[in-house]
Amino acid sequence: MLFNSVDFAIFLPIVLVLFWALERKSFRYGNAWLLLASMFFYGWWDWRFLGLVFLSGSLDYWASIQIERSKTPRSKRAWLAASIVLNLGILGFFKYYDFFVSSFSKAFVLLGHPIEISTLGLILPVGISFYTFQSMSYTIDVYRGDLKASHQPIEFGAYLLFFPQLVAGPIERATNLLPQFRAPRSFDLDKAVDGSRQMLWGLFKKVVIADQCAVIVNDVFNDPTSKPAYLLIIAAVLFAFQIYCDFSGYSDIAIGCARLFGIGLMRNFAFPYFSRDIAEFWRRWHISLSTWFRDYLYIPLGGSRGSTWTRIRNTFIIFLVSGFWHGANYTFIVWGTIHALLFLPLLLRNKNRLHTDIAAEGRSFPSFQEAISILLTFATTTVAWVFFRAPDVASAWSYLGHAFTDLVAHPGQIILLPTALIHLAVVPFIALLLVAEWTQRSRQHALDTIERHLSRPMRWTLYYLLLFAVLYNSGEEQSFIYFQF
Amino acid sequence: MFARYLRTSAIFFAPILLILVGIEVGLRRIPNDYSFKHEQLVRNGSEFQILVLGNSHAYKGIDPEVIGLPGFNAANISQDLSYDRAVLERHLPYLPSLDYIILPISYGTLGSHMASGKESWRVKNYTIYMGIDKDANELADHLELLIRPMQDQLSMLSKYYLKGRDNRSCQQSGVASQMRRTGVDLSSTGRKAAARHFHPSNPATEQSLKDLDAIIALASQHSIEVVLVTLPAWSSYRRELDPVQLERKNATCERLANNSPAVHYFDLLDDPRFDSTNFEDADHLSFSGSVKVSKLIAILISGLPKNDNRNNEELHLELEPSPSE
Repeated sequence: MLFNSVDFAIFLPIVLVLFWALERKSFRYGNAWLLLASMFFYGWWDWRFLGLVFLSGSLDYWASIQIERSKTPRSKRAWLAASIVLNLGILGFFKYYDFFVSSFSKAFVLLGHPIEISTLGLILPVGISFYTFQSMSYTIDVYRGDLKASHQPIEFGAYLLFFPQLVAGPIERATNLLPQFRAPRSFDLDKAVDGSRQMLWGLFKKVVIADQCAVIVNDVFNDPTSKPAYLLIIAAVLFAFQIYCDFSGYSDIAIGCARLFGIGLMRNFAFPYFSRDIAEFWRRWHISLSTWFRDYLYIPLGGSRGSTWTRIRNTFIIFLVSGFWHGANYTFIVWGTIHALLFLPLLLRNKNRLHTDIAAEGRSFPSFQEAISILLTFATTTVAWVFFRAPDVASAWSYLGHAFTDLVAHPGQIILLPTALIHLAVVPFIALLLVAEWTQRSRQHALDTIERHLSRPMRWTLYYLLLFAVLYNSGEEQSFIYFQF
Repeated sequence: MFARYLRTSAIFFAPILLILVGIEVGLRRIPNDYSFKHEQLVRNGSEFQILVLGNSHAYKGIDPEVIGLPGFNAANISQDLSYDRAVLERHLPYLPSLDYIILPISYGTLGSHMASGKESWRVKNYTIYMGIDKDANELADHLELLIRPMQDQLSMLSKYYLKGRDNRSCQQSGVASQMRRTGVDLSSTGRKAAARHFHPSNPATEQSLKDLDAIIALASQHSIEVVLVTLPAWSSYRRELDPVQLERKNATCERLANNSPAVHYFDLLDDPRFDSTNFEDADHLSFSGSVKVSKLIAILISGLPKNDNRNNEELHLELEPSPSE
C-alpha cells in the first residue's frame, strides 16, 4: 500500500480510530491492532512477502532470547553470529544472488572458461533491506546489553512491522522504538497536529515535486544520447531533487504518521542540500542508515581511530557497503566510491566535523563562501546521483561524457539553461521547497513552526493550497524509489 | 483530545471531500460513448434488428446505418468477448426485435482480456455507465476520479461545462465518428499491432471460448443469428501474424459455424477489395473502409436464410480487387 494512494487514505483513519479506542483499554490491545494493521498494509503488495518478514523476525526474536539466556560470552557471540548470518543470508539470497551469479559468469567468460549458472529471477520483497537491518539492530543491541530481549511476540512483531516505517525506514534502533511498544501511549494533540502537517509536507514533496521531476528525468535518462547537454544537466539536477523529495517525502509521511499513534521515529533527513561539504551531507542524508552503519560497522571496525591506512580502509568499507546496500548493481558501488573519495580528504585532514551546525546560523542568508560551499557540495552529489540513476556504469559515463562534450562543442547552450528552466512547471515548486526548507533549516521539517508565524485562517489556506497542489498533480500512483531497496 | 483532533480533521477535510464529490458527479454527467450506448440500447433497443459487438476493429469498422437494417454498434475499444457477453446479457431484455448479432473475431480476440491489461482502466466505464461490474474489484473501477490525473479531469470539466464539448466520439449508430486519425504509417503500425495482439494460448483463451459459446447459446435461445466476421487488415499487419494463433481463430470460427445453422462466419482479413485509403492504420478501417465493409456485410447478411427481401441494389460494391496493395 502506497502512502500516496486512496487505499492508504481509507486505511489510515480506520486504523487510527480503532487504535486509540483499543489503546484506551490496554496498550497490549493497541500493539495487537498495530500488528494486524501492519500485516494488512504489507500484505497489500503481496501476502507471500509476509512469510519472509516473519522468518526474519522470528529468528531474531528467538536468537535474542537465547543471547539473554546464554551464560558465556562465547555462546552469546555464537547466537549473534547465527542471527546475523541468517539475516544477511536471506537478504543476500533475495537481493544479491542473481547479481553475483551473473557477475561470476561474466568473469569466467572473460577468463576464457564460460560456465553456466542460471539466475533465479527472484522478486525482491518490498523493503527487505530496511526491516532486515532493523531486525539485526535489535539482536545486536540485546547482545551489547543495551536492551532487554522481548518476551512478547506481539510487542516485538508490532515493533518490527510498524507500518509507517516498515518498507522504507527510518531504520529504527530497537533501543528507541521497542520501549515505545512496552508502555501505554498517550494521544498528544500538538504532536498529532504537527505530525499531520509533516505528512502533508511529505506528500507535497513526493507528488508535486518528485513525481513531476520523474517525468522529465525518465525521458532524458531513457535516451540521453539524443538530448542536448543542457537538458542532460537539467535532468541530473532534477533527479537530485526527485530522489530527495521522494525519499525524504516518504520519511516525513512515516514520521508524521507514527506521531498520530503517539510513537516517535528518528529523524531521517535534515535538509541535506544545504550542506557545506560531503561530511555534513552524510550527517543530514538518510541519517538512520548512515548512523546504523556508523554504530554497527564503522565504530566496531575502529572508526576514525588508528593508522591512516585503517581510516582509509574503514571509510571505503562504509561507503562501499552503503552503496551496495542500495542494490545489486555496480552503479551503486561507484556511487559509494565517489562519496568515499570526496569524504576521505576531509577525514584525513580532520575536517570532517567542520560543519556540525546549520548553514548561516542566526542569519537569513549564507555568506558568499557558504553559498559557494553549498553549491559545490550540491554539484558533486548531483554528479554522483547520475551513477545512482543510470541503469549501468557505462551508461552513466556516457551520460556525463555526452553532457560534457556537447557542452564544449556548443557552449551557447549555457544560455538555454535558464530559459528551459522557466518553462518547467516543477521549478516554482522546487523554489518553494528551497525557500521553505531554508527558513526552517534549524527545525524538524518545513512546516514545523508555522503556528508561531501564521494565524489559523492563513495556515488553513496554506494547507488547502498544498493539498490542492497534491491533488492537482496526482494521477497514477507512483511508487517510492527507495521501496526497491 | 483525540475527539478534538478527529473533529478538526473532519472540518478540515469536509470541503475537500465535497469538492471531490462534485468533480465525480460532474465527470459522470459528461456524455461519453458508454453512457450514450447504454442509453440508446435501453431507449431504442426495441427497434434494433442488428447489434454489433466487439473491440475497436468493430467500433471503427461496422456502421449499422450502412447495413440498412435498424441496428446499433455496441462495440468499444478493447472490449473483449467477456464484455461482449456482458453487454449482450445486460441489454438483451431491451432488444426484442434483434435478428443478428455481428461479432467481429479478430486475430487477437481469443485470449484478449481487458481487465488485466493496459486497458483495465476501462472497467470503470462498464461499471459506472452500463451497470456491468463483473471485474470491478478495486475502488478505481467505480470512480472517475481515480482514473486520470486531476488536471486532466478539471480540463474535461471545463471543456464540457464551459465550451460544451463532451467525451462522446461515436455517431448516432454507435460507430466511431467520421473524424479519424490521418497520416498514420501503415507499414510501421502493422508490426506493433500484431505484436500487441499476440496471445499465446492461456487461461484467457479458454475463457474467451466459453464467452463465445455463451453468446451463441444466448442468441440461440432468442432465435438470433450470430454472424462472426474477421474484418480486413492491411498487409503489413497480416504478414506479422502468428500462423498458429491465426489458425486457432479460423478453426474456432469455422467449427462454430459448422456446428450451428444460426452461426455464420465470414473471413474478410485479406479481402483484396480494400486498398490503403480504406485503412486508418494497419488493423483499423478508415471511414471509407468502414462504409465498404458495412456494405459487404449487408450483402453477406442478405444471403442468410433469416433475411427479409431487402433491396440490395443500394449495396452494390466494386468487386474488382484493388491494385494498390
